[in-house]
Order: sequence, then structure tokens, then C-alpha cells
Amino acid sequence: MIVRMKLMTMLSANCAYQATDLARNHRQVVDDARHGVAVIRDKDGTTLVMTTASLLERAQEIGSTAVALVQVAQALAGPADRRTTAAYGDFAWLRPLPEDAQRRFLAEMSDRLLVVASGGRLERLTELVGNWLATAEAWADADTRGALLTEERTPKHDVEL
Amino acid sequence: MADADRPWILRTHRLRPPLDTKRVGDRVPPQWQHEISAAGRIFYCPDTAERVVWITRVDLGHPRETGCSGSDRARRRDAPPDENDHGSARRAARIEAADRANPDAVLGR
Repeated sequence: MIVRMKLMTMLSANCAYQATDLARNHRQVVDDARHGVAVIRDKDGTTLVMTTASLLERAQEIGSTAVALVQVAQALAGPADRRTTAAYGDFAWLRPLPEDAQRRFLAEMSDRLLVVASGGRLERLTELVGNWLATAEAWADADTRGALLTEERTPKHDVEL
Repeated sequence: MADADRPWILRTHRLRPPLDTKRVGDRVPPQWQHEISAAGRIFYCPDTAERVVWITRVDLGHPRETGCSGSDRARRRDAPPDENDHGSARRAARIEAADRANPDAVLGR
């Protein structure tokens, strides 16, 4: 939403090029696109936008993550015994985690998404998803879960390097 | 430095609750995971104050073609080491070398 609002501001702030400017002033159009967006109006009035792939990827990633989190929130709103794996959408791997961990994931991801959408690095979102995915993967395997939860009163091996 | 310049960062994850910490003696260090291969995982707890890294679990993730499932591996964990298993030794050496090259990743920094 924030990204979309920023994009709308940029669209209204920039001057609009004609389709013919792609041939006549292509350097200027491309430079505008590299610094944000270049707005091009086609002959039939259609507004086109040229921008960097990274800006588009960022907007798509933030948007799709927001939608996926809404799906998780909807899944968590229903009773646990009636939830299907499909209800979690893109985050279906969350299912094996305990209920309180799933809710914590939703809270942390929502916070991180807001930070990233307000200008933070997109990698910070990927990093948090990676951390939770690794946790869910470890939790889903009974052997691994047992090993990671066990309290080590006396460490088995003590190797000095 | 960008993450693209530090590929090991993308394969190193700080576990989240309820696996985020592990009690070792009287200390509770954070728990991390490093992807050593597509299926191989190493779990470790860096105790930065003591400058000690506790390795909590290593799973080399045998390919399924060997017929060795996770439960098979669990059963074989207590078996004596196979002196002819040079593949495991090479893998362990590579992990050790990678950790020496990137101590910050091991220590979770």
C-alpha cells in the first residue's frame, strides 16, 4: 500500500513523455526510468511506466508478502482443528509449528514488512522468512526437534581448537 | 558489504522460538542453523561471551537413493565410525575449512 502510494506520487510528479519520445529523446526517458519512473502516454491515452527491475521486484515482493500474511492471519483466525495446510497459502510450511510460534511469525513478519515497505532493505524480509523456514523445517523432524530442545547439562564433547 | 558478496549469510539462519535458544549447562546461547548442502544441516549455539561454539546437531542428509532415511541415520548414530567412510571425512573437513574462513558466520555475527 505504501509503495503504491509512493508510486502514485511519482507518477503525478514526473512529466509524461509521448510514445514518440522513445525514439527522439530515448536517453532522457531512460535516465528518468533509472532514477525512479518514466511516464509515457500512448496515443490512445494509455499511461505506461518504465522503471528499474529492482523497483518493480521490490513492489511485487512487498505486495505478495502482504497478501500471503493476510492469508496466514485468516488461517489463524479459525479453529486450529479445522485448518488445512492449503489455508496457509505461500507459508504452508508454518503448519507443523506450535500455535504460539505461528502467531509470533505473523507478528514479526508484519512488523518487518512495515519496516521494509517504509524504505528498509528487502533482504531483511528474506532473512526473517529464512529464519522461520529453518525453524519450521527443524521442528517438523522429530529427531532434530528432540536434539535441539534437549537441555545439555554436561556437554558430550569438548573440543578445543 | 552486500549479502550477495557473503553467500554463506544466505544459508545461515537464526532459529526462532521455540528453537531459538538451548540450555547448555548454566548458559542459554542462541541457536543457529547453517545449510551445508541442499539437505545437510548443522545446528550450533555460539556462546560469544565464552567464545565457545556448541555443535548441537549435524545432519549430512544422505541422498534418498542410498535407502538411508532419517530414522536409519538416527539408528546408526551410536554405531562406531566407519574408517572407510572417506566421504564423511572430506565433508567434515570442508565444513571445518569453511568455518575457519568465515568465523563471523559461525559466531552468528
